[in-house]
Amino acid sequence: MPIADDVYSHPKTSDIWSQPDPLQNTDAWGSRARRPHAGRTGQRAKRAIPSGGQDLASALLRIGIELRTYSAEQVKQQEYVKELTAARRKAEQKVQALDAMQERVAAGLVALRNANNRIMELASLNVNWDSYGAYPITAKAVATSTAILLELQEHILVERHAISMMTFIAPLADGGLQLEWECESDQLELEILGDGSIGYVHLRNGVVESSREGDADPLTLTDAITLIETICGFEEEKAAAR
Amino acid sequence: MGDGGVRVDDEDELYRRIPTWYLKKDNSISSSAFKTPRGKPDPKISVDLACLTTQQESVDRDNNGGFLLASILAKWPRQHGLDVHHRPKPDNYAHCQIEGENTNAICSQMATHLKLIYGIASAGTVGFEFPDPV
Repeated sequence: MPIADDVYSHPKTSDIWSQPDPLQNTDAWGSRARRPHAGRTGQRAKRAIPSGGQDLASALLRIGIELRTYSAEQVKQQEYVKELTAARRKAEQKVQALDAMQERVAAGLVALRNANNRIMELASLNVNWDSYGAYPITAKAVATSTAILLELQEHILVERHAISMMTFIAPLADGGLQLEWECESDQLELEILGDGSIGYVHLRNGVVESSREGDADPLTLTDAITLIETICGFEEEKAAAR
Repeated sequence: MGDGGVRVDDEDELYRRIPTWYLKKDNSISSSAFKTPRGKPDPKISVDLACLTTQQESVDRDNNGGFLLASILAKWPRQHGLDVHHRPKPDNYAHCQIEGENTNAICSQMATHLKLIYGIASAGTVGFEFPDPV
């Protein structure tokens, strides 16, 4: 009897061959799951996840969720920082605006005081102060000039206020006062005559735009204030502030 | 020649005394310099003809306070419809007058041509400092 036949006929040996090959059915992780037969059928078989892989996948999933949560929090934080920055910028702008307003008010008060001092100084001029027979400045001229300055006080709070834009106060030989403004290319000369009546000349780039003689066709105090506000751009300023 | 006086040409320089009150910070002169009593612009504005006097003599003609001197060419009042005539006075042969229908608007226009003469001031301007030329 050939040995080989003996071997093949041995019941235990034939059992061995009939059993599935443990090595063929065990993958690298020791799993007993069958390997996919992609090569044979041409179809991609469903990949089975080994138990160790499931742990890893769930860990990755957890990390993904955590990452997403973290990202969402980061976005929230960034938005919060943006809001904070915007609020801080707004607050800084408000502080700057307040500082600017404070400076304007201070400058306006100085201008108002200077104008008042100048009027008082001119009010003390004697007769013939111009050597051509001028009269002293009258009380009516002083009162009207002061009334105009008082009306313009509200300008102190805006940027282009008419008191700071007033450039000159000159005495007039008839006992009046002339208040002058310069606003860019515009010039305004408000003439307050000795009897308190008001005239004006408005020049633009040195050329007369309009004028009125105080003795023949005087302005009212309200007209004079409106004229100053218009020429100094105060109306625009008020509209912008709104 | 007009009214027996000297003819004033367009390019003749005229002097006008101005109190320091009229001088602005930018060295320009207020139009008030051409406005005289009774609330109306003076229909006869007194000036001196430069060629008949000196700057110092012109500014010292009145000792009633501190004065500076400004000049304007005769052509500027004429461009605004006024005229300039030589009107000598017993104590001032150089005296001229800018004459005609003057208005506030003309005063303002003429003031833009009025130039301060640096360094010339009357005795009454003690302590006055000329501003730096602009």
